[in-house]
Order: sequence, then C-alpha cells, then structure tokens
Amino acid sequence: MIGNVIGRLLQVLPTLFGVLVLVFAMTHVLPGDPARLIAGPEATDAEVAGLRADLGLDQPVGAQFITYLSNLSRGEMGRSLHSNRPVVDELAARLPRTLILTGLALAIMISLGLAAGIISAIKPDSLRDHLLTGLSLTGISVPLFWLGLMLVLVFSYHLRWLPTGGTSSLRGYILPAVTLGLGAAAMLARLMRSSLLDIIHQDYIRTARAKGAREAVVIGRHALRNALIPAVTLIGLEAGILLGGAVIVETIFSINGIGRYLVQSIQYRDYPATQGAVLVIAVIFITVNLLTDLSYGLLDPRQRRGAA
Amino acid sequence: MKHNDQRSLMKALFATSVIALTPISAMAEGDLTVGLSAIATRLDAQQLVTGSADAIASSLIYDTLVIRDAKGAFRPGVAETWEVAPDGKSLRFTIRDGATFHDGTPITAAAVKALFDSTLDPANNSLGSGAYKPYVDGVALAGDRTVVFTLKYPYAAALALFAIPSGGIQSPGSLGAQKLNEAKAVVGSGPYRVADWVPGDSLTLEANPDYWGAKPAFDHIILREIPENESRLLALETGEVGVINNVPATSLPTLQDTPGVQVQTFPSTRIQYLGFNTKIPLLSDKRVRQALNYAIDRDAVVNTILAGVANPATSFVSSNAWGHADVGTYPYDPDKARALLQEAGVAAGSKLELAVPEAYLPGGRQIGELLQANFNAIGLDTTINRYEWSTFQGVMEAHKGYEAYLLGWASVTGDADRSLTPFSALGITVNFANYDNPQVFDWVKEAAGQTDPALRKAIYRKVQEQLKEDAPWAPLAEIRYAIGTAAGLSGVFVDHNGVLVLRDAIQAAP
Repeated sequence: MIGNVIGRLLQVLPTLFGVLVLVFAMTHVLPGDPARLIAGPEATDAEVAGLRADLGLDQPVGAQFITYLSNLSRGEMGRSLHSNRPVVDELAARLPRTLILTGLALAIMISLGLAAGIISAIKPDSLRDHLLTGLSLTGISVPLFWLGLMLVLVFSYHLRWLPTGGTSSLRGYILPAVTLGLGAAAMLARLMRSSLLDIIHQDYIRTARAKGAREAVVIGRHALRNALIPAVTLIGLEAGILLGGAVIVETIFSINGIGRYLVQSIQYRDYPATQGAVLVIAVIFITVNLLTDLSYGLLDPRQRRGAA
Repeated sequence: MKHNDQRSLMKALFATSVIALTPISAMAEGDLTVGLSAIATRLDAQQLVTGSADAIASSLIYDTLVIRDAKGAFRPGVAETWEVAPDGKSLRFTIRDGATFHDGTPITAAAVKALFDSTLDPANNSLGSGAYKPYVDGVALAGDRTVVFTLKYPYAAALALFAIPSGGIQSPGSLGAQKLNEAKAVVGSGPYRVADWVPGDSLTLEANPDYWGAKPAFDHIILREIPENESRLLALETGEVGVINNVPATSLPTLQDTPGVQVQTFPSTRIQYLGFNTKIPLLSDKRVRQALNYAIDRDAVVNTILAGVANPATSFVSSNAWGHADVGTYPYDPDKARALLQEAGVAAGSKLELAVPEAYLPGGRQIGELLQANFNAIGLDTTINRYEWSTFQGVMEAHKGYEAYLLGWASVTGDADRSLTPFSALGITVNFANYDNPQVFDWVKEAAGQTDPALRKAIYRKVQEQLKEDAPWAPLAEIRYAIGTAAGLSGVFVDHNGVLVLRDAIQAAP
C-alpha cells in the first residue's frame, strides 16, 4: 500500500514538468502581445514598447523559460504581467474561493446524487424512481450558464434571499455551489442507480436475503459497498470537471477564483499568471486522482491485495 | 478561559447563521457600491492604462492638474490656474495652496515636478510616459507654486495631457513602492483614498476628509467586479449596487422599464469602423473601397443593432473630438456599389475576408453578419473570421495577412490629433489599413503644430475630406456608453474615453 503511494507520487513529477512545458509553449505560441493587450487598444507604439521592455518580454523565449524554471525551483512564480503583483500572492488570494466553491459543489453532488441513486434503485420502476430519473435527466441536460442565471432570477431577484454574487459572506457561495453541483449530482444518481441495480440481481445478494438479513443490511452492507466503486471513479473525475465548470460559474456569480483568474490571464497573455494557475489546477487534479485510486483499496480489499 | 472560547465560538456561529438568513440588503447608509465589468488591476497612476478599468479607480484616488467635466470642459484640479504660452510651446500651472496628499504632506510645485520628472525618466519605463514623451521636453519650477512644462514643438492639444489618468498627481515619495502595486503604497490626491483592496474582486475607497474641494458625498465608494452582463444588471435591479457600467444595447429597453433604476447614455470619442487592408490586390483600388462604403446599410448598424448606444458617424474623427468636420459618410446605395465594382473590374463572386473581434466590439457579431450580407448583395463572396480579442490583436500586429476588419478607436485626449496621428504613418500602431498618403500624413503633422485654432481646424477638415475620398476606413457609428444608476443618484457620468466618473456622485435625500 505505502509502496503504491510512493510509486504514484513519483509519477507525479514528470507529469507536472510536462504540464509546465506544454503550458509555456502554448501560451507563447498563441498570437497576441501581452504588452499591447495590457497597454490597451488606444496605446501608441511608444507606450507599448516601454511596457514590453519593462516586462522583460524583449528576452528570447528560451531564456524566459529558463528564468521561469529557476524561479519556480525557489518557489517563486514571478510577477503577473497584468497587475505587476507576485503570482503566488494572486493565486493564494483566489485558491480558497475556488476550493470552497468546488468543495461545496462536490458535497451537493455526493449527498444528492447518492441518495437519489439509492432511492431509485431500491424500488425500480416505481413512481419515485421515474420522478428521480426524470429530474436527473433534466439536471444533466441543463446548461450551467442558464441554470445559474435562473437561480439568480428566482432566489436573488424575486425572493431576495441570496446575493447575486460576490464572496463577502459564505452565503454568496450557495447559489454558485448549487449551480455547479446539481448537474454532477444528476450524473452520479444515474450511475448509482444502474450500478446498484446490477448488483442487487447478483447471487450473493440473493444469498444474503435468503439468510434472512434485513433489507437495510442487504443494501447498506453488501450491495452499496460494491456499487460505490464506479461511483468513486465518477466522483474523482467530476472533481476535475467541476474545476472546469467553476470557470463559468465564477464568471456568472462574480467569484474571483482560480478559474476566472486563468481565463483573464489567458486573455491578457499574462504568461506567469497563466502558468501559475494551470500548475495549481494540475496539482489539484493529480491529487484528487491519487486519492481516488487509493480509495479503491479502502472499498475493495481485492485491490489492496493486488497492489501489495 | 476554555469555556469562554467555546461561548464566543457559539456566538460567532450564531451570528453567521443569522446573517445567512436575513434577506439581502442594499448598500450601507452613506456608501455607494458600484458594479463594474472589470476592476482596476493597477493603482499606480504612472503605470495604469488610459481608458481602462484602472482609470475608473484612479479618477477617484487622484486629482490631475486640470480636471474635465461631463462636457469635456477643463476646470481647476491640483492647479488653480493655468496658462498656455502664446507660441504654444509651454504650459504654466499654478499649484493650489493648501491641497495635500493622502498622507498629509502638502502638494507643492516641487512635488509635481518630481512626479513628472519620474514619469519622463526612461529608466522608469512608466506606461503613462507614452502620452507625454512625444510632446514634453522638460519640467521646470518658476517660483514656489508654479511649474512650467516646455514642449518639443507647439502642440495645440497639450492641456488635455494633464487631465488624463496617467497624469494623476501622486506623492513622489511613494513612487518606488507604488510600482509594486500594493494598496498601502498608494498616496493619492483625490477626493477618495484607498481603504481596502482585494485584487480582482473589490476596491473600497473612503472619503478623504482633508480634500481641498467640496466634501465627498459618500463615506465609502466600493467598486466591485461583476463581469457577467446579466449578473451586473440583476445586481442593480436588486439594489446590491447603485451604479453599473457597460449596459449592453440589448438590455437597454428592459432596464429602462425597471422601476427605481435610471438609464443614461453618454457620447464618446469612440468611432466603430470597418478598415480595409489597402495592400491586398482587391482592396488596393480606391473604387472598390468606395463601393464597399456604398454597400453598407449604416442605418441598420446605428438604429437597429446598436439602437440607443450609437449615433451616426459623419467622419473618421468623432463629432465629440475637437477638430471634427462633418464630411459625411457614403449613402447606402447598392446599385452605385455594383457599378463601381464593375468599373474596377472586380469579378462577381470575388472573395473577401472580414476579420471581426466579436466580443470586444459592441454589437460585433451582428455588425459582422450585416456587413457580410451587404457585401454579398453587391456580388462579393464574404467570409467572416471571428476572433477572440487577444488573438485578433496578435493577427493585426503584423500589419498583414488580413483583408477587411472591424475595429474601434477613441481619442483619449478628445482632440483630432489623437484620432489621426496614430494612423498617420506606415507600419505604426493602428494603421492596420496600411494607408499610405504622404500628403495626409504631412497635414496631420502640420495641424499638431498649428496654434491658431481656426487654421488648425481647416487643416483637419482637409484631412477628413481626403480620408473620405481615399476610404481606407469606413466609419460606421459613434459609440455611446450606457450606464444604469439607482433612482436619486446624480453626478455620475462617462467621459469621452468611456471611463465612468464617480467623483461627483451625489445621492438625493429620499
């Protein structure tokens, strides 16, 4: 088990280096001059040239990459071209907002998704199964952008219960987290339902029932544990997808998180900021995947043995 | 002790849950919250971008030597009086007595000189220096309260340079720290000072109690970034904010019908235009460019697509810029356009590519599609190349590889000089049309140095007539900026550069 963890951690380093090279290359290949974009369309050539020199953009790309790597090895990500502030500070201010948002969305996904999936599977083809299946199909089909604006319209504009956006208090996160979490919950409910149904028809469940075990024990102890394995895979994948969805949700709800920062940085061709944001997202993504893989072992002893 | 800790924790939890359940409320009494499509990223006046989100904040934090009002007229700022030398080669400002920086130190002529010396110092790479370097030769003191700017040549629009955001008066002692862009380093001179800054999220400004002018009307002005148009509109309608900027044309009718909200639009020096790359074979013929001009249904652009946020353009220089001449645009006449194309020997079905930075321009997508339909109607085969703004800038920067393009331009000084000079040489800044008429370029240079206003205007008229004839750029519309404000709020306006000016905002008593 521990060897497995160490092995996985070692694989992370080349992955991160690959991410760095790729992002650096991609940002520099994109057309668009950061100095021109920052100085604004009404700036004259003299204004842009001054800024370009100030930002160190007159250096060759290779030299810029080496400078970047050596800074990074000392834990420095450079200064944002756009704001002239340290990228580390910019990211540190924004990361908690994105983590709270995706964390809450993940919680909504897991609680609603598992509950709906289990309720559906226990009594397939019942009225509540059809109702939940219909709801989850709707949840999967509704675009994030539309859902977010509708929630604002109802809960902020008509009912005036929650703010339209901003993060000055925790309640600012409620609507965005629901927007982000609902679609994922719907997906999880669909998966949970079918996975649990498959298992309920297997021999060992029939045996457990024949032994006279109560239904709650049959589902809770025997069926659920196996049905959870595909669900955990989905949750792990979704955690990454939620980070992507956070970009849209952060824009609708004016949450200044990592997602929106990344989009703005790309728009300004703010190389250090883009690289920093992608690096942070990559680290989160890799960590979540690692945790997902390790959690299989907890759910399924066969995987533990296989790995040891 | 431990028990106390637990109690205070419980109290905090209770307070949080109460806050979570109380309905959302409008702004605090005496405060003004403003929802902006983008918020300042730089607070250092020497490093900010004119006409950008930075300028909205800086116009509150900094006074300039002279300040422009809603009509563009100059009024005293840090300078109490000013005088332009008869030969147009120098400007003399008398600094107000009793004005102080936000740290309490007096604003002196010496401080102003030190500030502009630093701006002009090449070693500082000040972004704002680009506005001054072409014109300003040096800064000198003349007595305790007077500072004199000598110019490289007579420049008629020079006074405007001292009213733009880059000319914000900040304490010269703070400059080194300012460049690092830390909120606490900002030592300004305006009616509001920085209280709290959450970069990318909000900027809280508080009234400067020592301000020399009228006492600021609000205790705090809080600038909040709300990038999504619909969210910004909803924040105004729910009373979470008192002002929003950049109301899109499509939302104007709805907002106008919303009770408790007022909508205002303001003229700007911004022209939206269609440019033609005169170096590609099809568009190198003046008759083809004129034909395309005749083919454009400008009425649909101004009165349908941009309804409420545009006026018809009557020249490449905006009617809100000094030096504008009403030379008129080409009327909508597809028959004439077809005849001109035939005369120029353009075969039916000739291909034309139209580059459009869609999201950047008001109505960009729809105008692109209208132009495509207009040009196809006279027998061309038009393709639209849609670009994201940053990519578009990259494509254009090379000054080649594109054909027709949609773009806008504003004169940040409010003078025809700034509408024309950046276009008046090959290969520079925004002459993406690669327009090349040395006669016009000479006239533009001559006008910049001409100090007799009447003569200067006459030269600009010649230039604008020639531009209409040569048709490298087809002006489509003059852009108006739309804002929404809570009822009872007045004194808020958008200046000719599109910058929301909040310093004179006043809330009427209910």
